[in-house]
Amino acid sequence: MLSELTLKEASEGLRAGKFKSAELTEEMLGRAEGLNPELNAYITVTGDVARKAAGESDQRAQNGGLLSALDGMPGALKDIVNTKGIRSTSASKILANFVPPYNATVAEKLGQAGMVLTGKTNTDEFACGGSTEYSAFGVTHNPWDLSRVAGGSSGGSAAAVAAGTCLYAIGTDTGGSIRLPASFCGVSGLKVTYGRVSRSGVTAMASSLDSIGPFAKTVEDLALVMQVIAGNDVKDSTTLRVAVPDYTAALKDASVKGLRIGVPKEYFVEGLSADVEKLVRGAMSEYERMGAKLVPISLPYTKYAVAIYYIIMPAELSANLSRYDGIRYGLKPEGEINELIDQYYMTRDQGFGQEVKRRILTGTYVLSAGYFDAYYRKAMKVRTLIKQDFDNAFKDVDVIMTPVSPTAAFKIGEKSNDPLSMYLEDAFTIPASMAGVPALSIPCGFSSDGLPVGLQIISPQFSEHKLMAVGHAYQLATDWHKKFPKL
Amino acid sequence: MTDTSHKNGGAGAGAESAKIDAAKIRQIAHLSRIGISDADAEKYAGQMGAILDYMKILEEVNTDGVEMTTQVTGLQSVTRPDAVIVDTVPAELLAVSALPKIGGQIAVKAVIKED
Repeated sequence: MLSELTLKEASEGLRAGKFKSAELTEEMLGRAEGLNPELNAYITVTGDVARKAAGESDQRAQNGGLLSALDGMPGALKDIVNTKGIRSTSASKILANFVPPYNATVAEKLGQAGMVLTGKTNTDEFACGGSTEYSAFGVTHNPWDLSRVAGGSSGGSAAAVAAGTCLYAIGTDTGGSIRLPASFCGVSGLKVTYGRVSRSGVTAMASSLDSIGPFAKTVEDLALVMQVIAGNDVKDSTTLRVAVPDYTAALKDASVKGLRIGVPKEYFVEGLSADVEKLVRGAMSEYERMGAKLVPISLPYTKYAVAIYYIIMPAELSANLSRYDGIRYGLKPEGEINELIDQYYMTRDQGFGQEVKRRILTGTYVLSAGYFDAYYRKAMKVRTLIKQDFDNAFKDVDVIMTPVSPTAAFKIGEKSNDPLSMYLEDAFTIPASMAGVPALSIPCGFSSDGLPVGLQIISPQFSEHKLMAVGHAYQLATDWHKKFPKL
Repeated sequence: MTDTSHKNGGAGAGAESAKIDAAKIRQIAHLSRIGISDADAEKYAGQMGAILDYMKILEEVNTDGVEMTTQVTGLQSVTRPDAVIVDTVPAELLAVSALPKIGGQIAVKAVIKED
């Protein structure tokens, strides 16, 4: 089956003339459409757009003029990535009919590299959640066990890749929204350094934390996508003018001999499931066998990360979402409107879901007069201490390895009415977000329930090339990333 | 879910004590321009109370003399050439709004009421 190929294999197969993009695309679209009633990985499957792009790619292949390694390759975009002429909902009722008049930079770059867009994937509304249960378009189901969540907020992108409906997908990660679903769905996912990939045209959630990155079956595939999407963009002033390395070339140096791996004690604590701990420690032993050295370290401010995240993120979110006022963007509320303020009240009451409202209210509260210093300012100072934890650790070690999540995928509905317990799912992913450092999630085995579990690898800012080489070394030695769910 | 009996202090040392009840939620909802039902106000009061209680953990952290991290990669004053970039046309932007348009502008309800 073509859908079981990796991106790299498919790209090479296309170049060698083994199949056409049109064939590959039809198979993947068939799966995307056929599986969506069960998985709900997509909010919109873009069959016509994909078929047209595949045809154009096949033309280029015939003329020997393929644009990039991604040319003709089916890929998907999280629905908070705005796409010109294609409905982009951010999984919210308030944008249910929003058709953007422009492309996000990441969509533009992938389009110019020959992307075949299979569709727009499901997410928690405005990327607010850890399970994709807060989507206005219904929950995404985990391809390994349909009664469980796919993780979130980029659950649709992770499930779409895991289910073989596309070869790669773009997600966003603010506090763990790529790594958590990658772990839950058994695929590879990369949260990049803050500012490595342009966010222009991607609906903003928490601007001091938001990042965009890829999902794929393998780290090699992530490198191919990164090559296209990384780099400075004049439309996003947070993208640094730091040269983009040749990510695929960097993988060739996949030796981990002498690599110093930090193992922070704060991540191996009560609440971590025995299954996850065993698999993560097993993966680290594998690295040791390959010649790396495990170094016990401490990141003492880890335990404050969730508390500051749920101050900083809602504060920034509440400001970002104030633009959805029913004037510039969609949703005509039901009911009689006499004054402008009623329009705001009704649009935002009817348009936003519960979790988004909860976060807007929390954010407004922590920013309000009298509370700003106690909450927001305090949180931004503790953030500095968390960043210093990482700065200090990286003086002694090359990478840090931890679990992605304390547990494997949980049951749908298990946490959706208990916001605090949902928030604690992010305890291991938030610290790297606070420090702005890149972090990878790669499959490292299966729980006793047969659910995939991810290993998190964290490295210093702008060292994605080294980080991916470390991840690639593990995938050369193991085959967890080659398992497919039975669907 | 409707328990509003939390004793909520602020997160940081010296924070004002704040009790989150339905009235407070309604006040914040007004600031947020979100219409809210009484039932939701009760529910959010309970949930936000629990979340803000959890923030008290930050009182343990001494942040005297610590600077805020507002830009994590250390960027400062990023500039670009002062040139106009045209990549969307006003008509396309206007078309996004569901409200009526008059003379190339969006028509909204009255902001100021006549007595």
